[in-house]
This record gives sequence, C-alpha cells and structure tokens, in this order.
Amino acid sequence: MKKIRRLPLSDIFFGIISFSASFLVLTLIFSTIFVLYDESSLAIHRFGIINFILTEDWNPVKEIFGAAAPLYGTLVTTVLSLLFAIPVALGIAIFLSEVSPHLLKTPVGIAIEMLAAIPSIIYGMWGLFTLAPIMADYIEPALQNTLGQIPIIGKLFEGTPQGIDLFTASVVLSIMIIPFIASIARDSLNLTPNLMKESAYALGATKWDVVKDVMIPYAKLGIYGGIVLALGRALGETMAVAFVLGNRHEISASLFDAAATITVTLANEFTEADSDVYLSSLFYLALILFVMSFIILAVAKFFLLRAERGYSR
Amino acid sequence: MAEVEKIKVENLYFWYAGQPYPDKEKAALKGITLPVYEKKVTALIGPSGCGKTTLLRSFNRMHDLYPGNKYEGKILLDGENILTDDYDLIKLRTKVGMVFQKPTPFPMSIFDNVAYGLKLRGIKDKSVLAEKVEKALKQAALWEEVKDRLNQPATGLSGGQQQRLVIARALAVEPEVLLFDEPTSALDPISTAKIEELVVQLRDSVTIIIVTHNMQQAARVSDYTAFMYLGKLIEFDKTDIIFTAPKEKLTEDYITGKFG
Amino acid sequence: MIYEESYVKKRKIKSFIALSLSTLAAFLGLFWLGFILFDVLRHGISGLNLELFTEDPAPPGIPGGGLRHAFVGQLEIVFFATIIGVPVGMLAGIFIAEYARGTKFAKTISILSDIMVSVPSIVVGTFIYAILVKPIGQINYGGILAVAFLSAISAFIFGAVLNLFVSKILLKIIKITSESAVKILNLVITLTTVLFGIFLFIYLMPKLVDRIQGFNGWAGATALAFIMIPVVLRTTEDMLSLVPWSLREAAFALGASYYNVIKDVVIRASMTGILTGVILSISRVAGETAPLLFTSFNNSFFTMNMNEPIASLTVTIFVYATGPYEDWHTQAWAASFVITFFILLVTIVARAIIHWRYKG
Repeated sequence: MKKIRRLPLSDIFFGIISFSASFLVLTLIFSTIFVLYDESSLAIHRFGIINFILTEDWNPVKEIFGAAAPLYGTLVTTVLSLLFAIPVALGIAIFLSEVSPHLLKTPVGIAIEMLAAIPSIIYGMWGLFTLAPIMADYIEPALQNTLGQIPIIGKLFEGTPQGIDLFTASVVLSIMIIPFIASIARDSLNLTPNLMKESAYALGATKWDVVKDVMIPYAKLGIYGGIVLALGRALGETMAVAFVLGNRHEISASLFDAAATITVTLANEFTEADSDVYLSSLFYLALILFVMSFIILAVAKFFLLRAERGYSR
Repeated sequence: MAEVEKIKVENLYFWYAGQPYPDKEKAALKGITLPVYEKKVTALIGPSGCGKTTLLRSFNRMHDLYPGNKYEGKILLDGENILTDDYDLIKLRTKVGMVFQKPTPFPMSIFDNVAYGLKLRGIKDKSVLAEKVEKALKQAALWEEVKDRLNQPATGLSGGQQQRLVIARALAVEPEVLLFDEPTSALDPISTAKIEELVVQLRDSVTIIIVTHNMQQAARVSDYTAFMYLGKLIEFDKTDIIFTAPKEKLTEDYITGKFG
Repeated sequence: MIYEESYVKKRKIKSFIALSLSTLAAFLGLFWLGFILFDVLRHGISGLNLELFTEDPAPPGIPGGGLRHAFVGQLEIVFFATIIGVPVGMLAGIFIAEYARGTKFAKTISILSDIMVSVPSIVVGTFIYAILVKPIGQINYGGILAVAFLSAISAFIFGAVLNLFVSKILLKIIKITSESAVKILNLVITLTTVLFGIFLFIYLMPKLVDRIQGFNGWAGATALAFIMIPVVLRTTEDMLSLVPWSLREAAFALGASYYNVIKDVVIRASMTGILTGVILSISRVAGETAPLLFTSFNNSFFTMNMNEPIASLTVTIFVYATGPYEDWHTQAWAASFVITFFILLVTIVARAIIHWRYKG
C-alpha cells in the first residue's frame, strides 16, 4: 500500500465513514448471534442444549419444545438434495467445460445460472401445484412398487403418497442447488491448465480419462467448496421447502411423510407464537440454524480460498 | 550408413480454425515435405511463428483436440498415413509420445504419474507396473533421486525433476517416436543441460523430434536440422551442414543471428 | 509399444458413455429450467390483466380485485432497502478495497461478507424481528445498537460535510491560513460532530421506541438491506480491485488526496460494474420472501405508511398460494410470473453488461 505522507482532512473523514460502514458488517454478524442468543436464553435455560436437540415433542399447549423433528427434517432434506444434485451438477460442469460445442457453452451456462436466479418462492409454487401432484400420482407409487419392495430400504417408501413430503422437498431443493455446485465446479474445471490436459491426451487418454484423472483431481478443492456451499444453501432454504413439506413435528422413517425443517417451522409458527417460551424456542431454532450454516459456509469458504491459492501457484 | 525413414511428411498443409481453408497461401504450414530418420534426433528451428510447433503437433495430431483445424497432405508413419479420419488416435499417441514446454506433472504421486500411461493401456499387474516404472525412471535419469519417495505428490519435485518425470512418463509406454516442444524453455541452465544429455542418450532407443528456439541446443543435440520460415520448410540437412555450410541465404542469416 | 486393442476399445466406450451421461445431465438442468419457466408462464398469463396492477384485493373468496397494494408495497420496501443497503455496502466496499487494501481487516470483512451472502435469509428475518418489531415500547440491545449506528453514521456524514464545505468556505472568507487556526477549526468541527452524534442518539432513541408498533415496513426494508449489504460490498470490492493501481498512482502524482483519487478516478472507472452489481443485488432481494414474513408481515389493504405492516408481492404469493380460493391461486401465479420474468430479465441484462464491459 502506498503511504500518503500527510493525510488530508477529506481522507480522514471519508476514511472514517467508510470504515464505520465496513465495521457495520462485522457488527451485524456479531449482533445477530448476540441478539438471537439473548432472545432464546429463556428456552436455553428451560430446555438446555442436548435435551432441546434430542426432544421430539413440540407442544405449544404444554409448552414443551424440542428441536429433534425439525433438525431431522433439515438433515434429511439437505442430505437427499445433495445426493440428487451432486451427480447432475458435476455432469453439467463436465458438459460445460469439455463436451459442449463452443457455441453452446455460454447460453447453456447462463441458462443453468438462471436456475439460481429464480426466486425460491417460485420453486415453492411450482413444487406445490405442479411437482407434488406428479410425485403423488406417478413417481412415488412407482418407487413404492420397486424400491419399496426391498426389505429394510422399503421402510423409506411406506405410506400413502401425498406429494407433500420429505422426498418432494428434497427434489425441489436439489434443483435449486444444482446451479451453485455446477457453476463453481465448471469454473474450477476450467482452471486446469491446457498443457496439463494436452499431456494426458498425448499419452493416449480419452476425454473421460482426462476429466476423471486430471481435471477432477486438479479441481478437487473448488468442487468441494461448491458442494459445501450448496449444503449451506440447502440448510437455510425456506420458501421452496415451506410449500411442499407440510409442517409436522414428528420423526418417521418414511420419506413419503410430511415433516418439518427448522426454516419451515420458523416460517409457519413465528407470527403465531403466543407465549414467551414458544417464541424463545423459535429463536433458539434460528440460533441453531445460524450457527450451523455459519460454520458450514466458513468451511466452504476455506475450501474455495485454498483452491484459489492452489491455482495461482 | 543406411538410414531408415521413420516418418515421411509429404506436401503437408495445415490450417488453424479461422484460417481461410483451402487457401494454400494463408495456411499455417505450406507444403512441408520432410523425412524423419529412425533413432536420430531431428531438430526443428526457426523464428517464432514459423510453424515449427504446429508441425510438431501434427505428428501426434494434437490439433485434433480443437475443432476446426484442417490438414491436407500426408504424414507417413512406417509407411502408413496418420492423417486419415479413421486412424486410431490413441494408437498414434501410443507410438508417438510428447513432452511439452513446461513440466506438467498430474495431480497424483510420482509413481502414478509414470504408471498413468501404462494403466491406460490395461496393465494392472502391480509387479509389471513397478518394473516398467523403474525402467522408465532410470531411462529418464531420475530413479536415484526419487526412488525413496515414489508415493509422494509429483508437485513436490523441482522444475527440472518434474520435466524428467514427464519424460519418464512418456517413455513408460515405450513409444517409437518422442516429440519435444521446447522442453527446456522453462528450466534453469543446469536442468537444461541434464535434459539435453538425456535427449542425446535416448537417441539409441527412440526417434526424436525436438522443437527449439535455442540454436546452440539444436546444434548440441540433433543429427538433422530443419529450418522453417513463415510456414515453409526452407532447408533440411545434417545438423553440421546446416550450421556450417547452409545452402540457403535465409538459413545462414538466421543461424548467424541476422534476424529471428 | 504397449497397446492392447480390446482394453483401449473398452475405455473408448466408457468415455462415450460417461460423456453422454454428462450431456444428459445438462439436458436435465435445462429441462428443469424450461419446465419451471413454462409452468409459471402458462399459469401466470391467464391471471394477467390490468386490474392486477390497478386494483386492491377484493374481500377473500370474492372474485376480482388485484394486487396493487402488494406491487406498491414491494416497490416501497425494495426502494428503502436500496437506500439503506447500497450506500453502506458501497462505502464498506470502498474502504476494504482502497484504504484497507491488503490488510487482515479487509480480508476478514471480505470473507465474512461472502458468508453473510449465503446466511439463511429467514434468520435475518428473526434478527430484525427481535430488534425492530418485537420491542413494542421498550428498549433492547439490538435497538440501542441500531440507533447508535444510525447516529454515528449520520454524525460522520455531518462532520464530513462540515469539513468539506463549511471549513473551506470559512477559511476563504476570513482568509486565515496559519496552521494553528486550521487546527482549532478542526477541533471545533470534531467536537461539533461528536455532540451532534450524541444529540442524535438521545433524540432518536425514544422516537424509535415510540415508532415500533409491531410489524412495520421499515423492518422489512432493513431485513432486505441486511441481505444487500454484503452483496454490494463484494461487488464494489471486486470492481475496484479491477482498476489498475497505475491509474491511482497517476492521480497521486498530480497531488490529489486519496479521497479525490477514489472519487474522481477509481469510482469513475468502475461505475458500470458497481451499478450492475447494485442492480443484481436489487433483483436478488426482490424475490426474497422469508425475511419479510415477520418483519413487514402482510396487509390486505393498500398502504404506503412504512410504520405499518405492509404487503409485499412475495409474501402475498405465499399467503395466496397456500390459501383455499382458486382465485387467489390464479393471482398468485400471475404475481409469480411478473416477479420471475422481471428478475430474469434484470439478471440477464446485468450479466450481459458485465460480460461486454469486462470480458469482451
């Protein structure tokens, strides 16, 4: 940084203003944690931490609240959506960086990124009115008739298909997070030096060999970063899930049952909370969600930063 | 000394995507005809942009990786034209290996780097792999330096070691021809000397074509030299003749440093 | 030569299958996009008419009426969110890209902003609820913090104006150029600024407490601003770092202060990029629902009063779509159509601008 010998007053003032603005960002994060903790302290004192996490009951009448059911719902939808999204997103990334004809790269890339620009409430609407009936009428019965017949795994597909359940929510979520993984993975794959790819081809590798053995290992950190980022996104997504998950505070093995996630619980019950403990418990859920996604996003950022450093070496 | 023509280039024209095919005046390579003798080192020299790298990359059809590039003419490898559409590129690249300007170790261990080409050809037997990797590393004069750390990532090696590793990787699949594209341009003088020494040694087992912008290097390592200018082959002869008594004025000007 | 025909053939087939699968994945992605857009278009077009924009809703269950209240409310909330979020984000971005360039502080803020961009938006809603909605007639930490910050920033702006204009004019009028006089004047300005800040804090605190009457439009705008700030900050930072350092040096060489360099050279050079980023951040928050659910809440009547609960397009879509009436569903689809295509259009245009300006 260039040192300026004598700081003019305009610099001092503008510096201070702009500094306080950037300091505000810092403050916002810490005050979010602090305020959420402050608001949920009532519930923390009453239910504790482990107990709150492990209790399935969610009973506003008896004022007993536990986060097990929404945590379970959050976990299942997040993991399932990642399972659905990762192969597709990586496929898209490989297509965009290696397979696609040059002319198609930009339009297809933009189209995939458009998926990320669609507001989540639209995903919710579409999930509720279009996807849920299709799921209930065709896909879920089909799954029951095939995978549902296998012992043990079959438990996952029990019940009457309603379309409003963990499975549909996961599908909607997976479509939402595909662009995040795909675009970061594509950018990372594209950073593989041309010479590196040519050396592999010169050894007689096929295109898939080059992708699998050279490009993916090279872009590994970036791809991890993209996946973890998508994980953080899936964890905190509200509206897309709120429409198609119901809001049921019970844990059941079947993916074809309605359930709740932390976000859905907040969206549905926050304005209805009529007692202090109730509201405090909801704040407690928000605090848990915030801390969880903060950690996950920090991990994602760590991967992406390391990837960046690796490439510039 | 009866020399065998390993490769015969016949009236080769080449257009990059975007160049006006089939306008022969504007091609990147303009009617190259050139023999490459077996188990000899042939150097391609010329000012930058003269087409020497373009010609080199035609020998293993590296240009085919990018759409829109076009060839015309023939390159005969053991009498068989490799520029036909149905020629098996993997087979071609098994016969013709290549080493690039910069070392390109893959993101895997030293051992896996050298074994990579072998694995691509279906060799799975561990002992066979180990034996061939050792042989290749010895051929590339790298064995002594890396034998104790074969399982460490190849990126930990120095630049010169990396380049020798890449040569070992190319040698492991036992190619008949080895292409070098300015292999020492990114290396320090000591590493460069080692690579040059290696090239001279390898002459006994493979046919070598080397592109270099360093005329002393060409003089030191090659048996034959081709001088190219503006996409044309100006002169091809034994190296000592090219450097001592060139027939063309242009060649003489170039090697005496009047342009280039 | 080591070459086994059958194995190589197997690998070629494998490669073909793998690459076909990746093409299939791309088609699947395009299929989802097409499916969703087509569905929104199909359902949305039928509900689209002039009344949607010009009329307020009919009583529940009775057909007719429109969503004027939600369109206006949405515009108002997003407008104020922009007013709050963009200056803060830009200033912060300028600070970390210029004054604090390369420092640990800048790096920290930059990383934290990246994380903030992806923080669950519903959590932002709960945070804003806690500080701007819940404390009806009472003071809490969040409120104090918000007011303190507001006062501090206003005071700094006040001080800057004082310094830039008043002191210059004053010095010109009384024609004193001695060092000590300038020092005294600076001291006076600083004192005035601090006093102004304290006054503002004392003045605003009870006002704010008075104003909080439960759900209100300001809370919604603040929640959206919370989301905008890190987005604008990061774009500003990125765009400023694209301006070559030599350009700044040329201006420094002419004896300009860093403030002038930023104002006249750096910002001017990166204006297109920053503005595009601002537009992108607006389109990003325009589709947000979760942070509005319990801040600006919802209102079935037309209002422009930001101190009251105020309807927004997105929350209205949520309420209408989950409601029991067929007519509501139609209107929700129509609103979805408007919002989706607005956002997609803005996104595409902004991206095209960035593409032309910085890559082309």
